[in-house]
This record gives sequence, C-alpha cells and structure tokens, in this order.
Amino acid sequence: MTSAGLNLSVKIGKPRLWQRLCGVADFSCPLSVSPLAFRDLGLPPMLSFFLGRSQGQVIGPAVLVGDEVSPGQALGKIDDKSFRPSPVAGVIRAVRECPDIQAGPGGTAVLIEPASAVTAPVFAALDAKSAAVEAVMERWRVAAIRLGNRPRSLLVDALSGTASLVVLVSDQEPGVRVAASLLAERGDDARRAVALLARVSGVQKLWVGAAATQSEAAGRLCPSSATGLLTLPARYPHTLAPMVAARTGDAQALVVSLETALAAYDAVVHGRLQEHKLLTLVNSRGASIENLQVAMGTRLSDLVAACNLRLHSGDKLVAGGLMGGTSQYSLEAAVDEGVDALVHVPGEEVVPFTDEPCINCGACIDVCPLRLQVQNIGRYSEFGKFSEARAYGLDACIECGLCASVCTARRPLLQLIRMAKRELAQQAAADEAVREASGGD
Amino acid sequence: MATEPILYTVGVAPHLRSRTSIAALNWTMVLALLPTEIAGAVGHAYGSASGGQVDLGTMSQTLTAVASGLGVEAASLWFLGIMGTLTMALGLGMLVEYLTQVLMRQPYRALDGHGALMGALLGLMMPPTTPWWVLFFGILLAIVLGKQLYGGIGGYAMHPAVVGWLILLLSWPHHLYPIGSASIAAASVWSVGATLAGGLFLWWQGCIRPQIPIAALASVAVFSLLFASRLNGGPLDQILDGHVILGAFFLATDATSSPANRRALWIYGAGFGFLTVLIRAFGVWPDAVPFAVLLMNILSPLLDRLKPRMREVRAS
Repeated sequence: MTSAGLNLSVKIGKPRLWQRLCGVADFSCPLSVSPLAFRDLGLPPMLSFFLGRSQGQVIGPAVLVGDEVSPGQALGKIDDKSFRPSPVAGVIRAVRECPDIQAGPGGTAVLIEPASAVTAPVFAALDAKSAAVEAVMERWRVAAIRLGNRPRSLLVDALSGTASLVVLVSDQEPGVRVAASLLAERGDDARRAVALLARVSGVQKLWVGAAATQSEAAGRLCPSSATGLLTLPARYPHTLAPMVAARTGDAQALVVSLETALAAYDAVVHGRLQEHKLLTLVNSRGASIENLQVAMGTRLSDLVAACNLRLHSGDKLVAGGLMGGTSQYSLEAAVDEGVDALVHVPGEEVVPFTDEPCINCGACIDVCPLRLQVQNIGRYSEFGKFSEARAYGLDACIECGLCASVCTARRPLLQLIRMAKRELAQQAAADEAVREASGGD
Repeated sequence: MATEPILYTVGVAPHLRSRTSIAALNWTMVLALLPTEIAGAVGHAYGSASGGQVDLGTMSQTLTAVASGLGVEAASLWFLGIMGTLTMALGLGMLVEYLTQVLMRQPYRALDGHGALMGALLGLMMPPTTPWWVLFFGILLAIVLGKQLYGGIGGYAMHPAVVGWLILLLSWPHHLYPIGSASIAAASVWSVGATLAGGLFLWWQGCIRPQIPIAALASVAVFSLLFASRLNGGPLDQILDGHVILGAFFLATDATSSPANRRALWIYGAGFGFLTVLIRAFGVWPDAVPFAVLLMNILSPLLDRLKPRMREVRAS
C-alpha cells in the first residue's frame, strides 16, 4: 500500500513531555497521509457558480435566467472574453448576489438546475504523449483549469514565466486527506499527469513534492531524471506552497496540487471539465472524518445536509482547512477549486481572539517555522506602525497561522500580519501613483 | 428550513486554537506557589525558622495566651496566620488591580490572576512578622507603580512584585529583615524544595520556558565557586539559600519583563545568576535575588535584540 502513515489528530496546545523538557514548543500539526475512500454525494438539486471579481470589478453573467446551458458554455464574461465554463448541462434558475467562499467581497453567482450528470466528453480527446503543446495549453485555457490558490488563477496563466513546477501529492492542512487518497486511487493517472506536465509546461525542472511517509508511492511518479522527488516533513506548515517552493531552491516555483494536475490530465485525455471537487470533512481538532466527492458548485447548504451536520447558532463552519480556511456566514456559498476541507467547529469549542496586550511570552517565536519576531510584528501592526513591522520579518511571513494558534494572549496575529502587509501594499501603490503623476507632468 | 435563522460565528484564520490564555498561565503560577506557601508556613510555625520564637511584644504574648486558653496550640495559630496573610496578599493584589483599572478606565482584567500572582509573590518574600500595613503598601506600590502606571500587563519593564519589595526594603528595612527571621518562602530547606517542585510543575505545564531557570542555577553554581572566598558555603548552599529558586523559577521567568528569544533567555538567566552571586559576595544586602531580577529586567529589551536568524523562503 501507499503508506501506513500518520493518522494522528492534532494536539495543539498539548506538546509532548519531551518537547516541554527541551523547551521546544513544537505545535506543528502532523499531517495524515493514509488514504481514505471518497463518498460520492451525487448531483444536488441546484449548483451555484461564483463569478467573483476581476481587478475589483464584479464579473457580469453571460447567461440569462431561463437559458439552457450546455457543458463548456461560458457563464460569465470579462471584457467580452468568456469566463468560467459550466461543467454541467442544465437550466439557469437565478443570477444573484452571493458571498465568496474565500474571504473576499461578494459577487455574482449563477445558479443552475443540473439536468443530469455529464457522461460524454465535452472536448475531443487528445493523446497525452503526442498532442502539440499549443493544443494542450489551449485545452487548459478553454477548460479553465484553475488552481486552488487565492484568488483562483488559471493554470495556463500561472505556468507562463515559471521556471520550476511542483506537483504536491501531500495535503496542506491538518486532517485533509485529499491528495494522499487520490494518490492511492489514481496512482497510474497521476504518473501520466506528471509526465504530461513535464512535457508541456515548459518548466526547467518539475518536482513531485511528497511527505516523507509517502516517498515510495511518490517515487513512482517521477521516472525520468528531469523530474525530481521533493521529500517534505509530514507536518503542517512544511507542505504549504511557499515552504515547498523554498525547498526547490526556486522561491518562485509554482506549486500545483495533485487534484489540479489530474484535472488538467483529464481535460486533455478524456476531454472532461472538472466536474467534481474532492474534499475532507474534518473535525474541530483536525482529525479527518470522511472524504467526499462533491459536484463542483455544490452549495454549502446541500453539503451540510448530505454530511448530516447539525448546525446551531454560534457554531463555526469553515470552508478550507482549519489553519487557512474561511469561516462562512451563509450557506449560499458554493464549493470551488480551492475548498479542500469542510470543518464544523461547535460553538463551545470556538476559542475567540481577544485584544489582550502581548505579554512577550515567546510562544509565537518558538512555533514560527521561519523564526520571525512575531510578537513585535503584532505589536507594531496593532498600533499602525507597519513599516517598523517590516524590520521584524513581516515580508517573509508565509501566513501559516501557527503563531495565532498558540498565542497565550489569544491575539489575532495572522490578521495583524495580513493587515500590515495590505496597508504597506496600498501605501506603495499610492506612492507609485503619485510618482507616475509627477513624472508625467 | 429552521424557523429561526442560524447565526454562525465568523472569525479570522486560524480556526484551530490552543485553549491557553493569560488567565490560565497566571492562575497556574498561583497554584504552583501553593507548596511554597504551605511549606513556608509550616517551617515558620512548627520548625526552627523563627515563628513561635519571635517576640512581637505584648501583642503576640496576649495572642499566645488567648490561644492556649482556648486550647489551641500557638504554632497552629501561627500557621493559620501565615496562610491567612498570604491569602490576604493574593486578594489585595486583585482588589488593587481592579480599583486601578476602574480609575484608569482600563478594561477589567483583575480576574486574569496577574494581580493575585503579584500579591502572592510579594507576601512570600516577606517575613511572617511583617505588619499587615507594610504588606498592604507593598502590594499597592507593586500594582500601581510597578504595573498599572506602565499600562498594565504586557507593558511594565520591571517585575512589579520585586519593585514593591524593593520600595518596602528602602522604606522599612527592619520589617523586611527582622533579626532572626527569614521570609516565608525561605523558611527552611523544605520550603525551598517545595518552590523547586512548584517550578518544575510550571515547566511541565509549559507555563515557563526552561532556559532561564537552567541558566540561572548553573550560573549561580559556577560563580559561587569563583567567588567562594567571599561567600559562606558552597554552590549548593548558595542555590538553596534565600530566594534563588523562587527567583529562577517564578520571578525571572515573568513573561513581560523577560526576553522572548531563546538565546536571549540563556544570557538573561546566566546574568541573573551572576548578579545574584556578585551582590551576595560584594554587596551589603543579605538577599541579592530581587536586585538581580530587577537589573536583568532592565537589560531584557537589549538582550531581545539577539534575534534568531530568519529563514527566508520568499524571494524578496
């Protein structure tokens, strides 16, 4: 089998005795890599596709209520360019305001009543070994293969100008077991997908990133010398994209999940759009409950009903992982490419952040994978001294959130860091605008 | 559909959060002081530390007479009195903190246990014969001058309880160092051992980081060998004497007034040990620990400049 790997739930705040004796508050969460079967939830009565925003502008719909859509038909348009192909056939039932499942301003969502599950290929099948590079790239653009990053960018856009590419076969968040299970289920397809990416992407070096416990299964994915195996510790922040990229020696390396790589492969070889999203139902302590295969665009209300989650006022529902996910205020939001996990945190287990002052205990420094001076970044950011925060490593932060997980004073450190980064970026943009205006005169 | 709309809790990432808090930290430290309090009270009441032998004039004679008249052993009365004093110190710490927070229009944080901890520590550093009003002044000064005027928890530069203790020492030295009586915490080798047990408990609970106590005790041992000619007793005597253990585990490890970086912690602890021995060897005061704590507190922002080397994973 692939791995008889770690299946530990996260014991955050409870380091082992030896860790205490050594004074190392290593709260890094172990990642599960043992595979878990996917339960297919089928097609819900209504699917919702969020169009989002492009450069601050709400993306408008390209369809009207009552229209019939066929698979591959664009649902939105940006500057007369088609955007977001529908993966299903069905009838448009509504076009309305909808919250973003990522933290972000809302936008337009197109609600489709699906006719039936798609069985026929949408595009003509190409041969993975001989298809022209341009044809494959065009296919990926038309099929809108998107990354699970924030904001979801197109694979083809992300690939241009990238020198190194990492296909990550381990999961990023505690409790999530999508990639590990996918590797066990579709190992052969994964190997072909990696070969396809290596041939087509035009990168100098392609890596397969895998947790140390998966290296045997992952090793089979990279037969050629052009493909390297990147062994990562099976602990939480080490499989995050910036940490993985750093290990390749190219900090700009593009990190693609195995699910995205397989979707790209399916689009080429089987002519399919990405109709499904795989995600793990995780409990509030970071243990996986079950793996689910849901239709892309399934609304959270349908997902919650299918999982038999009993929600009460005061509970937290998190889309995405426990560390980097977004808590939802409405069940209208729908599953998209970036949602690897659904977490239900019961109200009594929610530990709110506070505005207590920093007591300089150093827990954040001990836990920071980059050894940043998080306590000082948080203090400066809290009082609006954003450029001072830079001196303590603000720009290097990869936003893993471990500092805020362990903070004794329960300070919202990750939010303070993000605020400082955002303020500095806005300030830099404003300065740039002023310089351009004065230079133009 | 449910009849009532469900209102979800929204919050920023991360959603996995440890249950630790400032209150948990402080109350665990208060709890860890309990063995010291009991052992100190026992040492003074029943042991040879002083207790029953100290003559407090008519007052204590009357009390002893009343106690024996009631059939209560005088030593039990002393034990209860010491425990009562320490409880009062703890409560006074909270009360003073609450009142200053009312006056300063700060959020009320008295229940987070920091004032209580400061009161308890100050009470422990006093001899049992100290009048109650001296203790009261000490706590008032510790909380108001040592802590709240700096902005409260997280803001002060020097350990509040030590600041309070030093002001008392300068004001009423005869009450802090009465002849023939040690402080409650330093009653006997048993109470020092109890403090050590409490300190190890804190370490086990993750409330303190081990660098400071380890460095402090090692440095006391090393420097007491170096200055052996000017000291009474060997390294072990120096460690077990007075407030060294209390200082290494409870006073110097105070989060706000100690550095945050690990390398800085080693130096901070070693400096504490060095200053303790230095002041004991060449100074005039019998117990050097509070001075050493205060001096290292002042140095701690400087020591915190010893940052670890950042790991760069982002192309800048």
